[in-house]
Amino acid sequence: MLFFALPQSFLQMNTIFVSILIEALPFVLIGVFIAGFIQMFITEDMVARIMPKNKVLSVLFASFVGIFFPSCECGIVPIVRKLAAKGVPLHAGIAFMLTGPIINPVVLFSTYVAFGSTWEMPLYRALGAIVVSVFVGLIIAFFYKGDGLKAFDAGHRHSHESLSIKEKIWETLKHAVDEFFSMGKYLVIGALIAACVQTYVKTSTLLSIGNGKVSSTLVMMALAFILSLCSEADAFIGSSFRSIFSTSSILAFLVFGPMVDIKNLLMMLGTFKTRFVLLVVGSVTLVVFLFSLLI
Amino acid sequence: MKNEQDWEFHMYIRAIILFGFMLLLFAFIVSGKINSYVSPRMVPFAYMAMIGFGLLGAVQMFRGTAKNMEEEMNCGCGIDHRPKGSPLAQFSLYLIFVIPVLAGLMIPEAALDTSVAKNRGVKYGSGIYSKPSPPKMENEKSNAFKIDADEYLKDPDGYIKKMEKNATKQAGVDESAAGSDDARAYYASLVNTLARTNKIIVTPNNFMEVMAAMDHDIRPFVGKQMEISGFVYRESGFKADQAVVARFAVECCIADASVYGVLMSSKDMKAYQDDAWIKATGVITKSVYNKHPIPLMKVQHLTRIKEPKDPYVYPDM
Repeated sequence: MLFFALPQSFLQMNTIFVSILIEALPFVLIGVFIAGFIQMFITEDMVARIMPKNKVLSVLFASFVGIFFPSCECGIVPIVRKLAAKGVPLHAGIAFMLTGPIINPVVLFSTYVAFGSTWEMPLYRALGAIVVSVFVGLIIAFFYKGDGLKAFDAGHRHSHESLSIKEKIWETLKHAVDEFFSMGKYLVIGALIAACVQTYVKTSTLLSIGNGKVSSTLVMMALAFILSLCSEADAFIGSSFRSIFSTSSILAFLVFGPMVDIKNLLMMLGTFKTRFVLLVVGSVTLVVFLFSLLI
Repeated sequence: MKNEQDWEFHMYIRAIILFGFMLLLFAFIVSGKINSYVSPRMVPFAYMAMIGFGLLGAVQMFRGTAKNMEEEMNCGCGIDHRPKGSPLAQFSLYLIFVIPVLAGLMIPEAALDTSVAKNRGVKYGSGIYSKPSPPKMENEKSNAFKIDADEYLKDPDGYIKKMEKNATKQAGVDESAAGSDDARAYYASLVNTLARTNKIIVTPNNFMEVMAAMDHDIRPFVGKQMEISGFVYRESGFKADQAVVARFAVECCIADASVYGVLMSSKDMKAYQDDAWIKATGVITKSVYNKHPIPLMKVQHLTRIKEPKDPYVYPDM
């Protein structure tokens, strides 16, 4: 019995690792199905017709579209990648990616429940997400030149218009498989890192660092990054810190976590150019921080 | 021809991996092990994913057949769809996907224990779970007692100050919040229902409710008998006869599990190691953890029990 030799902590790490994956995989599958669907059924013409030409309007538009798409932070990266390949401008795609996992009904409702059936926290959370995505979207729109995507997808634009519906569905499924294999690896590695950190790092020490307003906000953001919780579950964890942390730092936790955490950082790095990811993560961090200090 | 064979190989290995994930989920669901990983309300999603992987695996299998290979090789878009990189890079890519399947199927699952609890800190009473909002933190009469013992032990004064400071802020939020009246009413009725019985039997189903109710108002519970089971958990500042009987509460997956428990004291406590599963019956008394009232159970009867098949409790939505 080989596994009797393994230390208990390793078994726990492994269990947490598998657990994160089991929870995330259904949502990643939904994500790759939608990505495949976009690939086959959404044309660049459609995107051009719907998406406002004006940079500011397109960022605003994209920031609110997420209300209608129940998605989480690991399912949304492949969707954004496909949207970008279909001609959605990068600033709009990123704005959608940042708000999508937060402002959808499922996540807002779970936040409502977690914070004692009150609307204040979910509203602040949605507001925070929109403020951050608008700022970051505009920073990208006006200060980032370049396409931001890694090369392999940029030129990949099939013309599928001639296919029948049946063929399109078949192609959708094929694309979903390919998408799963190109995104899934980041999810697996991210889940592994998060599980290691959860098992071997004493997060409660982290909590004792955060005393002042600034440090407690930074601590909560770091915690959101490390824990890599699904945006549907993080509100419950966030609310448990109410006794020791201020509302504003918990807000930072709730807004930052779904935008940047270990597993979706890896997914972004696999999709976008490294410099671009640094720009996005850097500006998200800054805006979330400032926003939560003002609240 | 070499390329074609390579490509076919990739087709099949991907199909096998997809079927592997399906098998993993199937095995978890059939054996009930799924409960060691995710909470019951996430299980329908696991079913869905199992079907999804089966479908994708079948698609991938079909792609590998000779008829379709030709189409794959020249799909006409001028892009080479084949996986890139050296054989080693491709091998490690697939290894990444094989690892979780093997890890799930072959390595036994381990229930979270006190080592994880120590990393995360324990909530004495409810604290976290709040259908309605937890009561105001600042005043004595509301009896809120969420305590991070670790932090408290390090710096008692600083911790209390922080509690008070945050509580004041929290109070502002609570008062303005629209739902807080409902919340108070909900808790009041919860407390009433529980306090009507003389012996409160804590089961996995009502565990979180009882914790929440005691968090809301400890007074009606004082002097009541309580029966509760969980694992033994201690922190460094505890007296020799003290321990916490604790459970992990799981929201979605065990990565988000947090620990809840009731502090108890018994002269037999020394006989029980950390992580031992126990059933304790005793009387609830009110203890004060530096100005913050928490329930302390004076144990009358203590027995060792087998670890339950499902060690976690689940707050219901």
